[in-house]
Amino acid sequence: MSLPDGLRNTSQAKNWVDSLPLSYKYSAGVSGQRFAEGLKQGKILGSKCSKCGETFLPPSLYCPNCFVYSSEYVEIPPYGEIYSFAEADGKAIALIRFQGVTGGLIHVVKRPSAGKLKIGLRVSAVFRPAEQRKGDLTDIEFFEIRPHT
Amino acid sequence: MTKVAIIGVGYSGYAPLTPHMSFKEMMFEASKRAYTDAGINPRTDVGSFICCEEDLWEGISITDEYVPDQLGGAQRAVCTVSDDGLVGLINGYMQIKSGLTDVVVVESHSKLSNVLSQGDVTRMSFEPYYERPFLTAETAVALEMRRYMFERELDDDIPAMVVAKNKKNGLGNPRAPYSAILSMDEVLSSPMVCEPLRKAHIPEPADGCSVTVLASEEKARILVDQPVWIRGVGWFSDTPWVSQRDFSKAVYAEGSSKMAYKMAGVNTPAKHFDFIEVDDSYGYKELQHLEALGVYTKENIKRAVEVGETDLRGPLPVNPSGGKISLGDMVEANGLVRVVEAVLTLRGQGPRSLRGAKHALVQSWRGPPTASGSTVILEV
Repeated sequence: MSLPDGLRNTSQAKNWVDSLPLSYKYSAGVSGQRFAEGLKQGKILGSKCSKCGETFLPPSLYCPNCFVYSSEYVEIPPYGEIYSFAEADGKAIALIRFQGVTGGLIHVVKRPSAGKLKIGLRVSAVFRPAEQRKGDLTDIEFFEIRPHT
Repeated sequence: MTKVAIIGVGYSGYAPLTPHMSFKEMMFEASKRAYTDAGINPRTDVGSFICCEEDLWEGISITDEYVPDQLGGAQRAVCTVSDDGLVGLINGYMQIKSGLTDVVVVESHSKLSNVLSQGDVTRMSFEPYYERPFLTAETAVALEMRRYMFERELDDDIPAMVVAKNKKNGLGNPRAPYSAILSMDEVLSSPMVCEPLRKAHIPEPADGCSVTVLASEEKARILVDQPVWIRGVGWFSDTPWVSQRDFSKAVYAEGSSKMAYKMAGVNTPAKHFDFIEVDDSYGYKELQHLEALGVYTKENIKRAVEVGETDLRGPLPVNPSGGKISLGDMVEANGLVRVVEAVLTLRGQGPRSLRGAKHALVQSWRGPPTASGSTVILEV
């Protein structure tokens, strides 16, 4: 269908451009605060539901299954496994899963000097030096393949 | 309770670019077509108007303020459902089913060609602290794609075959701007965007508007000869955390279809439908969705693709319209776009090989990074 009085020549098609700078400050909340403090101490913290006992990463104040407070935080050993990975611009991003934990962390995985990245490879978190940590995920510099795997 | 039918459909745009019209004019054109199709006057015959859109795609917030006039809904009951068009359709279905009104108009559109920051809009939908720093839409998709293909032991050629099939299906559809004859080799040699995701896997953006008119059984029988009945509806959300999902499964599609099957009394989905329209993003999503719908299993999905069971002339045509691969990505309109395609096909206005089709399923997914979606079962 062509609209009555519609354009018949693309050079006449008018548009205008507007651009609004939007910025936000996101509250970390109770569980986010705990996670951030953990990172500063070189720890990965998950939340454990007091009812079903499931441990979640990222941690959360509530259990999505039981809808109760998850008031317990547990330290997750920084050794995980590559659940999947994606590669672009010479960089690899992976979802790292940890034993006995629902969820995981999405982060940079350092490519091995020999061989290729594979699903199932065991990796460990490499934290920045304590004085450089800011309480966000960049406190972990990257994950690297554990040598014995 | 009354049955609910789709009595009119209309569309406009369905093109990579629509520089000659505003989104409002696109809605006006599509709704004019739908009202002509249904034989109604929106100023007197419609009880409620529902539009589906996301403010960030519109470039204007509180978008529902800007939709009534071009739908014939000035000074009437109008609202926005900020979700896929299929969810808007389900809301309209419920309004009629509950007796609130007897005619509802559902609209959804995309003016993606006007969005100069498409990547940023998508990134804004990622969880900001844990997930946004490391993810783009392409990375999130590539992660899931690799894991799904790993678990099913699929080679690169399987998603490529889906892309090639849907590109070809679109050639028979005058509304599908991205249809083509594309060889598997062309898919497999297209540029790598984020391994294993290639450019040819990604649905290209399109502009377009779809409008459907829903009516109660009583109204439908008076107004049209060929009502298309909505027999079942369902919607479902998996976890919002990308990191907590099972990448091998489309949990949202499983949940939404179970809800719809129960309502429609469908016990053997693999045999019930004459054709299926599912979200086919990146090729592999079509397979993951078909498994979740219970139409194929993780054991037989690979073979189904290889032997052409889901081809246009196969035993169960999947995406005879060409799908999102051929029609283009129309963001919140994707689900409603497929409803329009399914309705036309059920009326015998689709592919010739599907004349006489009586049962169809339409499934939609909201796109990356979401894990929510909906299902609608249609019948003539």
